[in-house]
Amino acid sequence: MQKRQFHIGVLVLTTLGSSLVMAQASNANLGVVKNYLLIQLGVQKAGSSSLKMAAQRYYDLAKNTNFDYNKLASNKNAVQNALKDARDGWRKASPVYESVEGIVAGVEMLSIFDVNLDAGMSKTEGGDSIVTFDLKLPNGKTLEKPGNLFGVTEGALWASEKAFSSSVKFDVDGDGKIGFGDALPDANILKAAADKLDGMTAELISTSKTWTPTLENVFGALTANVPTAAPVFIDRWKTSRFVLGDAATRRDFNAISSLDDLNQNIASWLTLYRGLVPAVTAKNASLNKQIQDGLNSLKAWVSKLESQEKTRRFSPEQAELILKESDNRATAITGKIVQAAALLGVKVSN
Amino acid sequence: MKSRTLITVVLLALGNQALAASDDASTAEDIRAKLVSAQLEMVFDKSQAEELVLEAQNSFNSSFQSLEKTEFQKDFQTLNIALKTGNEAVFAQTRARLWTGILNAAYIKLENAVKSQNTSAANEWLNLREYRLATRFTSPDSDATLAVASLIEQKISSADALIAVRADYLDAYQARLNNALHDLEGAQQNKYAILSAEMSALATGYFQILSPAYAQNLGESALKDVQNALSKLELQPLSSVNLSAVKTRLEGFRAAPLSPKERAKRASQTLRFLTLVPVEYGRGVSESNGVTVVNRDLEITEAKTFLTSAASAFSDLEPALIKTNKNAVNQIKNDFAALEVGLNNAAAHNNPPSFKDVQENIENLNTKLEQLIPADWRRADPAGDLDVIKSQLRQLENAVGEKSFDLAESARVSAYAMLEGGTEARIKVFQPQLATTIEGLFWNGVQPDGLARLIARKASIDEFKTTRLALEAKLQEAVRYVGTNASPTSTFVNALVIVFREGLEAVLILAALLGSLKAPAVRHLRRPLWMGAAASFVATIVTFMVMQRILNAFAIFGEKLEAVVSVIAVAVLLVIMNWFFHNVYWNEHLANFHKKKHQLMGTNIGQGLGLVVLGFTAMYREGFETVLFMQSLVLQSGLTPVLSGAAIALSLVTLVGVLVFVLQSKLPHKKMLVATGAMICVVLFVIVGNTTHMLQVVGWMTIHPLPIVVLPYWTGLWLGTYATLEGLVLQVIAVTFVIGSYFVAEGLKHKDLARKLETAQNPGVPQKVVSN
Repeated sequence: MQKRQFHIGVLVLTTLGSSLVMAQASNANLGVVKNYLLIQLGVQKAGSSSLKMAAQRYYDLAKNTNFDYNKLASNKNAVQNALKDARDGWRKASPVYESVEGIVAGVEMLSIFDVNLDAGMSKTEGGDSIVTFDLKLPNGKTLEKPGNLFGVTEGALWASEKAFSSSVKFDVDGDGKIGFGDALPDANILKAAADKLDGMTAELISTSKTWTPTLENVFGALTANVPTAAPVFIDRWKTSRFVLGDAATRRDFNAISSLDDLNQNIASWLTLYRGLVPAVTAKNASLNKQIQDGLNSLKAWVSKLESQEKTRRFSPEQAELILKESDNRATAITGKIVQAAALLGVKVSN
Repeated sequence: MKSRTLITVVLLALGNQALAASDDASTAEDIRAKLVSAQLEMVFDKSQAEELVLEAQNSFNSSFQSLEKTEFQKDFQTLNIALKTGNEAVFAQTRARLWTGILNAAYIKLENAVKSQNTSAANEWLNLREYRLATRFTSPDSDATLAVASLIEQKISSADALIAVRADYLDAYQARLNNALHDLEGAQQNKYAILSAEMSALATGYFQILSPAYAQNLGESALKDVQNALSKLELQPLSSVNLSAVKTRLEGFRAAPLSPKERAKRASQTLRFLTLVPVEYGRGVSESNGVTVVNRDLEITEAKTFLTSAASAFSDLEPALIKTNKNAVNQIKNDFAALEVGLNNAAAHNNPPSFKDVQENIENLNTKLEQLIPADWRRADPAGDLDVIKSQLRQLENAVGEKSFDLAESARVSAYAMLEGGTEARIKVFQPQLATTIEGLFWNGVQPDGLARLIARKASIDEFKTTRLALEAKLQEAVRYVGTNASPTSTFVNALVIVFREGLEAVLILAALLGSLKAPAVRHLRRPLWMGAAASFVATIVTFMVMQRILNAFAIFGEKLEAVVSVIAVAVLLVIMNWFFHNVYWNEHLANFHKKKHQLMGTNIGQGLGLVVLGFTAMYREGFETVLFMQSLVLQSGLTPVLSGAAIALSLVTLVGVLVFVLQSKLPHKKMLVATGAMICVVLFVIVGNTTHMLQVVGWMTIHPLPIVVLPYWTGLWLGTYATLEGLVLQVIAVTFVIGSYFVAEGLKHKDLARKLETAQNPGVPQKVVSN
């Protein structure tokens, strides 16, 4: 009898708990989150479409030479233009995906897209997260589970994966010398992977349209993304030309500062958090204010640094101080978001 | 009751309003941020720096009304002087002192508010704090917030709230102290004088918050010793000797001791995060002509984050581990530091280490950690277990994709062993229905088919995916139930209830069996039954001790061992049952005709051994199950509450046992025999049902689910009846066998009596000897 009462008690408590969370969810404005996801994916789609078209142009040029890459290399301008457009498309699509990866990977119905687009391993690499697709090439061959699509296209475009490159050296970036990534991609692989990336992005958009966001999704996305402020963005910036000048050894983030990326990301975090404002305010108005103040203040701080770096050069020690302060700010915000989630009965999983 | 609810609602509303009106947490954050900006401006724009310090000071003066401000005003004066003289190091140091001073004051205010149950003040100070550094993979705790919320709602006492608040805050500030000392080491290596000054002051400030706990653990004299070491460090922040002196004095100190669950969480995080470092690193670099090139920064960043998270989790375990093996701890710390240097180089695209080197170093470090961290520390974290199980299930699916069903089966068994070794027993305690569902999904369940069933029929990957998703969802649900903190009291109660329930079952089975042997002629057969029962008690204790040590290896065989023991129990019970009806019940009435045979029975070694085995197996089934439950409770909350609960439960079981046996002896003999026969019948029915279920779970028996029939959960728990054709048929056969055995015995008895009557009426005809 006691056991039965216990079970009934648990059932009642569980039902009440679920109802409470559902009530809180209805209090939140989670549509904002879905809109944000769809807007970002729209930008990603624009990038992947550009990549797809440029890859097609490159494929046509290669086909005209019967895939004789040495001959193709002689068609310098057309090849450089096609590959530049392809790289630009990739550069546009990939960072945008990073800004929504926290949502895509955290939502069960979308998570397989994360594996196939950005996180999955190839069959050769093995591990616990292998992509689920095979890549059919225009020449009839099939690459069995070649790894995630951003990785395959990157490997082909920057020749970082030998198997995806023709191995014929070519001044892709047009800087007059053969340096990192200067090789012609395998046209069949680039075209097939770019097509697949664009198609899968479209599929992700249409699946996302059927998704109903939950409080757990949004809290999860925020607690996974806000702590990246310092270790991802500021750390890159710290070792870039913007801080180290000529002593910088990294080749990326030298044209556009990583602070700019961070600023855009904070804007997206603010959008995400906006969806939670009604629910958090109803529970603890002050906590809501602290979170919003924290995010706005972080954005203002990064904007200020971004404008300052145009006129001043921070020392490595100052850059370290900036990194630690950014980490402190991000942790303070994340900590408060976690407290809000706990008060709303939402368990944040990492 | 209504008025209490109303008061709670009003208090909550008032608390919310009070918080909205007064927000010292935001002000404090703002002051800290302004002072950081001021420090940066000292070099570029001094007037801007002065303006920022003034703004910070004004904010401070107009807020924190209940704080004693004298010391803070002195700090602001020092900041202004440092600003004027351009002394960045002093500015940084003072800034850190002021900030940690505010944190300390807020923490003291919070403690006092909780102690005095001043909930609005507690809410006011609650968010003026720092958390453990958040990463993409680990979020700060919320225990203090939830405790204060529960205090406001009058769900917990102020004493309980205080314990939770202290544990959360002290854990966070100890982590911050470790971060400061770690960052100081880095700053010293880079000869960053300003950053070193700041970090030394931060370390002093965080230690100040922890100092009451330090004094309580190690005494006032040791406290003064650390404070002196920290003062020296603040005076010469670039001195590595001074830093070592501080670290040495902090060795083995833990302000908020980790509970077994937290300890397991940290152990699990250390190992789990570490294994992910080479995975990420390998994806971030490529090798070309012996040169390592970084081509994906995000992967390097993630590798760094995993390494930092692993090192941070290990630093929480360090105080407990350093007492047993200081050298190993120091070696591990050095290994972490060396890996960090390599990954920092990779992040800067400056001479990154090769993937092979990183992988080898991680493997070596992992081996050292596995040797150092006790095995049971890694077993109690359901969330950690779940991650590993999920990973194994993905491997299973990959193996299915490759049509490697052997590998898939191996992954399934590993995943199940992980579940059974840690979390399953607790799920059985808190959510038994869920445990059954999960078991079905792992083994031979239907709708969706269990993984074992899918592997056996080499099903499609889509079917595997459906089952995997269902299983993951159920496991996630399970973690929600078992992942909550268990207080020693609740563990004590759980252990008591479990041992009492299982013990009661054992007593009833034993009473039923012993009751059958009440007649003077067979009383001596009680002895082997008691011996078997006693042996099972000893075996249960041995099992408990063995499982403490080799749980992982043992867990794989857990279900199968239970199945084997159950089958033996059923077999012996059936044999003995048959013997009972033919000898005890029947012979009882024919005692005069069989005196000689009874004497022989007393010396029959086979029967005696059979009864020992019956006593052993019938009792050990319960003992084994109890061990599994208790083991998981030990992992959750330690040995003491579990053993205490078990001891009290055993006393109660003994008491009930005595009462049952006394009651049994008071019953008229015939009634007792009928009651005992019925009890044995029920025992056999339940054991056959449970054994069938167990055999189906481990895949040793087919499953034909009954269409339409949905049995409630309690039929499985109490009667061993599950909605499968095999289970029900075997239970019916078992009961039919017992009842049939009784009627056959009765028939033989009447036949024999008739023959004897006939012989008596016709003397001279030789009497046929009835064989037993």
